[in-house]
Amino acid sequence: MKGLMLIAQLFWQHERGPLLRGWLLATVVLLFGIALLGLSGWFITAAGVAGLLGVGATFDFFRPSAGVRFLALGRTVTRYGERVLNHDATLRTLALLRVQLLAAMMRQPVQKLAQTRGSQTLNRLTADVDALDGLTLRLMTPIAAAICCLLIAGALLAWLTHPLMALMVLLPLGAGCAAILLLPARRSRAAASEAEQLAQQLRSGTIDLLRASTDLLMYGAMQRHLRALIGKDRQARQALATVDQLERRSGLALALLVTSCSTLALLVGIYLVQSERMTAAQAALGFFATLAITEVVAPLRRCAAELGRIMDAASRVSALLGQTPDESPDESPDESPDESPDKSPDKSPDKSPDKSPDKSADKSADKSLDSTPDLTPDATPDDKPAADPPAESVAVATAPARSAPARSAHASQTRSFAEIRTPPALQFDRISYAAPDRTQLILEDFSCSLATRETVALTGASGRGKSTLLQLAARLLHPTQGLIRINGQSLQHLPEGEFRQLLTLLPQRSVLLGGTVLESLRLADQQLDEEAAWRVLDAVAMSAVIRNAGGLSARLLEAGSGLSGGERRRLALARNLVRQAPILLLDEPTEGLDAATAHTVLDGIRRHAPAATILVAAHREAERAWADRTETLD
Amino acid sequence: MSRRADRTDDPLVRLTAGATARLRKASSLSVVASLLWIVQAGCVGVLISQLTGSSEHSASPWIAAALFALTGLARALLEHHSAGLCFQAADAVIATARQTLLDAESRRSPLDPERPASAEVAALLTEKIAVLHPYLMRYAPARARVMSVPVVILLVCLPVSWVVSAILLVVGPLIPVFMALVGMAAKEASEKHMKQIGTLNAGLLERLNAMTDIRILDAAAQTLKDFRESASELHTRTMGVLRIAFLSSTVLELFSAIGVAMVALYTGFVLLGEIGFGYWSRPFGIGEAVFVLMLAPEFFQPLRDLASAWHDRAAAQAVAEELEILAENATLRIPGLGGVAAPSFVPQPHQALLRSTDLTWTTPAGKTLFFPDILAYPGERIAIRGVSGAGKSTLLALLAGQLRPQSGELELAGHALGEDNADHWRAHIAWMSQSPWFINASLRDNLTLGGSNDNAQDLTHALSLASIKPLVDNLPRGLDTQLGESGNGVSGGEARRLTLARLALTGRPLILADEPTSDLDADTAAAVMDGLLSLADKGSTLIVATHDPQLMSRMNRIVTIGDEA
Repeated sequence: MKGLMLIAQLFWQHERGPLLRGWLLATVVLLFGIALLGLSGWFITAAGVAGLLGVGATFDFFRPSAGVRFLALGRTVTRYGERVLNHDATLRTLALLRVQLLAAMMRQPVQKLAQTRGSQTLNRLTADVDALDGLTLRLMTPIAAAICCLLIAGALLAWLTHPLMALMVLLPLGAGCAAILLLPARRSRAAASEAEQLAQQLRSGTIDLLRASTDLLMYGAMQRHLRALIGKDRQARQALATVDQLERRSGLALALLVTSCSTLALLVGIYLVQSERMTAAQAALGFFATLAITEVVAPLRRCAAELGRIMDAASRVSALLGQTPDESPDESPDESPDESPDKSPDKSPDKSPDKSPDKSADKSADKSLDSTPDLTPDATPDDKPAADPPAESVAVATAPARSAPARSAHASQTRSFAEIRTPPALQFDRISYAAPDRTQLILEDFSCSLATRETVALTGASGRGKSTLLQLAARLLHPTQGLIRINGQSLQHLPEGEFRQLLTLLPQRSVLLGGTVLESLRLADQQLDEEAAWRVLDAVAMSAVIRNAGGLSARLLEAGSGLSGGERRRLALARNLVRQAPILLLDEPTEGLDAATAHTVLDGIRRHAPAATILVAAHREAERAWADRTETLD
Repeated sequence: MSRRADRTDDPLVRLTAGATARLRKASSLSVVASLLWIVQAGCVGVLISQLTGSSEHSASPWIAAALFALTGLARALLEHHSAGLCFQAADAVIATARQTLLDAESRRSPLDPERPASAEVAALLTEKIAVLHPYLMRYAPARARVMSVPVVILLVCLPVSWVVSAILLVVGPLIPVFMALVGMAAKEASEKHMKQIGTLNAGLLERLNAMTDIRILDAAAQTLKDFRESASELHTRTMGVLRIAFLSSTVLELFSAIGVAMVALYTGFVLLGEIGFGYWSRPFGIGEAVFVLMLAPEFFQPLRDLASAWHDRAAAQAVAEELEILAENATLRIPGLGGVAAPSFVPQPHQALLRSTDLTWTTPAGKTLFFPDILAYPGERIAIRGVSGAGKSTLLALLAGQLRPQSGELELAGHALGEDNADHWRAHIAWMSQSPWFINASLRDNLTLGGSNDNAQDLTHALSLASIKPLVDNLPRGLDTQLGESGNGVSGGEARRLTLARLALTGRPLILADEPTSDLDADTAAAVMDGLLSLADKGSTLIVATHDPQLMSRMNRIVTIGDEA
């Protein structure tokens, strides 16, 4: 119910005017319909009586006939307006709701995202939102209009015919409708929500079956899974049959109610005419008006089943909307202002990081000293003026301003003067990490620093946390203990946009989007032009493949499935290079590539990003040889 | 004759052929129910004329009222029964359509370039096929009513006044003309709308799956903007369809309202004596006038019902066409059914387990790949290498019996791959895919895939062989842990080792592995290699597609596709 209120609120907030107008028009349509039939019945009967009495010539036929024509046309036009208005308002709100939902999903922590099965999430976003259109179109507007119309029609009927007529017709009708609407509500809600759930299972089961089809086929499991899915469909259709049966019963009850009420109108008419409290023409008016009123209640037939479906969908959708967002830095209010990045551009960037990057007492100190002479002498920062200098200026400007309490005591004691002046591009300071549901530490007390333009290979057996470390640095995970700094600045305090400019990660599994090759690359940079696109494709040795496939406008299939594994990997890498970030984290970048291609690609990366600081989770000799030095996780 | 041909050309007719008998019965019941309204109108006519004192009928008005109520009851029951029959018909058609679609799509090769995104098929299977339901519930009875009810009403009104019949006769036939015009536009708009829903859903699924990448690439704002645009485009298109739908029903309502108003005014003026024509020997009375007034709306009602069902039909037709086009476009089908079979091929002494000669494959882009011949004897270890994109995966799919070779010969222990023996053929092959998809089920189910072997001891053994036992033991729920889409909570190395365990569990004589050591660090790669080789030591034949020199060095033989890398 709470979910329903939240969604109703959303409708109210965004489309109050159109919805109110739509409701008004809906009421007018119903009243016009009642008036048209009532007036026609009265007119014929009254005319007949006048004709019988021989006073036909004095009978005022002008106003009734004009009324009949006006009501006939007015009703049609109003109906059209009402439908367009209500549907437009409803569908616009739903489009907005879809976008809000996607935005809510995007704010979720990455781990939670990974747990949400894509297909289920899709079910929520499409089926549930689709179901919500019934809230206004089939529940709120018809019910509100019906109630309003019954009250007004009742008053008019009492005035034009006899109060007894109004009372005897509308009381049973109102009570009957309420009963039809409310009595099966619970059962119908349960059945409808079961049907919906089964339909969603059918959908995600289908996606599973198709995506895993090769494995299922090879292990002779296809038929079994197919049968299971067909069984699921049978269950879903059975649940739907229950819903439909309840709905048909409501329909039967409603038809009987309508017959009873019209019969009642006839009986009351006979009684009142025979006791001379009403004319026959008034009785005709009462009966025909009643016939038309029954049209008002026809849409209520589906309401009970609809209500169940809508309430279910609303509770799921609003739960998704209301989820606590990821703790993102720019939203934490308790941040001290001096830690926010200072973007003063006049500080000239220090482009010669010849000082030892890290003299802290951690185990990597020796190695980083060793590697200092190797530091990319051929680097030409001028190649990338857009990406590099701002990053370094941030570092220079903010390092002295950093407040001591943010650091661990250990780190502040061992920090040297030189290091404060040019902090390491990327620094892990006593990082420990355990997955949320496990107690076992994946990383324990790990420290390491990378100087600007240094390439460091991360090695260690599977499960030692290489990928985890990269994910921590990319802020997809948060360390249980310790700090990660970029240019001396704690990762937690960088605003998201700026942080993503500074650093990019090629994860172990990356997903390519469908669409053209260019669109796929443009995910990383909307402004990417074709020339730049060919440059990155060159860097990852993909330009020949893409040219053969039809150039940048060649279409990729779902998740890039038109390409081989190695080609997908290189395209994902190209997408990362497009970012031109000063820090590159690469999780096994040459996976699925043969040795020659792997060398070409690694050389291409360096050539394309000569000034970048690179941390690579490596297991291949080629990747290790490519790096300036190695850090081992054990 | 030509009409018949047209009907069988209609995919919707073919799709719903099985429902004809039930729908015919439901339609007759519905027609009878509608005609009962004539009885009810007669009751009311008599009743009101009695009230005005103009009637020559001596019967009491109470009797007319009672008859009215009883007929109403019968009418409600008939309609109820008719709807029940329609539901059964719809349910049967939907069940068949879903089964057919699942059968076809599950056996379509992943290498088929026309293979639709899985989310699109899922959308077609669930919400789009469900569109058949309202169509089957409403269209056939409405159509039957249109064919009969207006004619009967016309004939019933004729004895009262030929003018009334004439009004209905003139206004009525105009309706189908407008309906056809509007209906055609609605169908086109509705087809566009359905396609749009499919692509919007597929795009959304893609984006949700790529959420981590989107976050890393700082593309959230852009993605959201794109999505907002497609959502608003969908809104515009939906409104386009709806406007047409509303317009057509408005046209109908307008005609119906005009018809009723004209009947009311005409009869009123005749009763007043203002109009002196249109009746037979003498002017009709109040009772007759009320009778025709009640019938006039019912004359138009079937047309209105059919018009609203017309849009259901347009939507159903779009779905039927999509189903047929999808079926026709399936160019690459996997042979066999994917059923369970027991391996029984045994190579003769000195006969190769697997033999391929002159295999070629022409990709849909028109590039022809020529594959080297492969001769694999029991226990042999063969590496297939080639530069990226040379066709290693395609060759492996051919060897695994996932594709029927376009030319050349392929035999497993002397048996050629055919449609009938494909399941049996593949039962000899343990398959290790490069990027496995874990279904939404327990780890155990993902390992056994419902196959015969879920014996605890064998499972333990397979997990140890794949050196993933400690990891599984460490899971709070062990083998009952639920896996998600893309194997959530499973890293690349873990996924590979799980597929190795899956493969070891089957004990099949031929192992085909696509890049078994890619995505892995040195230790895990070594573990996977050892696992595969220990299976080969026990007599399994091992064929791997790889570029890993270490793995190649442990093979008996290396086969190169295309030019030397």
